Amino acid sequence: MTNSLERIFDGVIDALQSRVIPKIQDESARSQAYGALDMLRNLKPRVEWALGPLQDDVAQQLALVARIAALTDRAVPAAPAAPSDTALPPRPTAADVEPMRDRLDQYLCEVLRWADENRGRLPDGRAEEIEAAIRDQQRVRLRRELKLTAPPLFGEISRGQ
Amino acid sequence: MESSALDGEAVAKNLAEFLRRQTGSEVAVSGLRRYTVGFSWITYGFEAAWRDSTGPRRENLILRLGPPKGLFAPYHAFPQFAALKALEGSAVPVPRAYWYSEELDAFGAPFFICEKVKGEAPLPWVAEGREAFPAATREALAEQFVAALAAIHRFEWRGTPLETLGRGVDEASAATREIASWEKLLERWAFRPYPMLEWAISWLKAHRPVAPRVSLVHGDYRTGNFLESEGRITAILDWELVHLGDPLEDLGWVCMRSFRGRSPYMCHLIERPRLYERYEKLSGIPVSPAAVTFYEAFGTFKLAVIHVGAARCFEDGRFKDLRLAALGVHLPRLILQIEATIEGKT
Repeated sequence: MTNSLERIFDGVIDALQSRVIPKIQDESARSQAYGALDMLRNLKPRVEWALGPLQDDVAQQLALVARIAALTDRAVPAAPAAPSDTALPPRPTAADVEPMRDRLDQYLCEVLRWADENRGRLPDGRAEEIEAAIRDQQRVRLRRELKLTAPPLFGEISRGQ
Repeated sequence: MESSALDGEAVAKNLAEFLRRQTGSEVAVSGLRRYTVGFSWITYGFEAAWRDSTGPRRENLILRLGPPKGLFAPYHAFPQFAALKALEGSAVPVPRAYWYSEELDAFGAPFFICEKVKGEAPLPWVAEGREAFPAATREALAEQFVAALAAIHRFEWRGTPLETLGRGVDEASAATREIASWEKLLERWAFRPYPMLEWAISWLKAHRPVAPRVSLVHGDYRTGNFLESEGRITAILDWELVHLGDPLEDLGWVCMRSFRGRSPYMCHLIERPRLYERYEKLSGIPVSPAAVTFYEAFGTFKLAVIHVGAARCFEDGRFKDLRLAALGVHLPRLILQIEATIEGKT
């Protein structure tokens, strides 16, 4: 998901409350919409992003960091330094893991930029090997995300019908 | 979500006042309707009635506003207005453009007013495995679709106000400038890092083609952005991303997976070999398949950046339209499509 969970909840609640419910003429439909609104307001403080996939992401990123360290060992100029603060609390929440995933992604972006800029100075094929390793890890994550994503309703969204 | 200047009643009142100043006559505005299409500019249809030297006039018109907190804000009305105005009477069917303003006094937003052309905008999103058009309609529309694109690219923009849409761009710099512009937008909008997009930028920079010529580029040429009536394309719409650049950029956009799903027809209209053949014949511009693939990948990158921007706009609360958050959900699909396009797997 691209947006934060909090913003999504707030946005859906606001849309129902201020833009949808006032336009529903049928009382029965309106009461159902109020039911949905009530549920959302009560769900909001009780849910967070699923922890399992986030932890899987970070575990894969850390394995990749180790691989990159091997691939860039003694490279000149030196490859970007990996984040050092990668320890998580004993019982992490999504709020702990998400920033870690983003820090590691930031590091991967820096490594990609470094490999591209130094392609000619690295051993033959090394920059491509680094890129392929990062792409492989990212592809696994994107495909998992895609499996969780419902087919888009762009037609309905565009037409409103 | 929007300033009060953009609510229906205020829009009608301000429209009447603006039109009164332009026509020198009292103008009755009726039937104001906001369309749901589009995620960026806000579009209203309305009827205006006034009296001029020839007698009473009644016109169906379109008002397009660039909302101050919208996706690509701050907006400018001039590029779209200039493109419509320049192409009036050419082989490209466009609505007649009447007025535009960059000033915020009327609606709190830049805007332009143009003719409302008869027709419906067919959408590119259909259920997988289904045809968007019956075969005969598809063939008729395909020919007009390619002919209009060729006419845009053949259009002599030099010596017209369109020159300002890409000062200094030449065949060698066209792709570089576009990549830089969209990379900057990604930097502005992203609220987390995207390694695959970072890699895509490197690939695009390393594979940028030299343009066969510098043309007027529509920037969002596809099914969904033209009007059709009884098998005839009546208008090419949505010139928001118009610029000067490589004509093959539009051809790559037409070929994107996002606008055809698994259909063999680009934009649900025409098969790729036929598209290249008809385009070359009608435009006189040679098609380099490698350049089209480049622009297909670049177009998918642009679309991914737009999705990031939509999510950002929603996250910041600038625009509360839930559809923006819904776009953001589908970012992984686009990022995978960029990679598949680069690897020739589309």
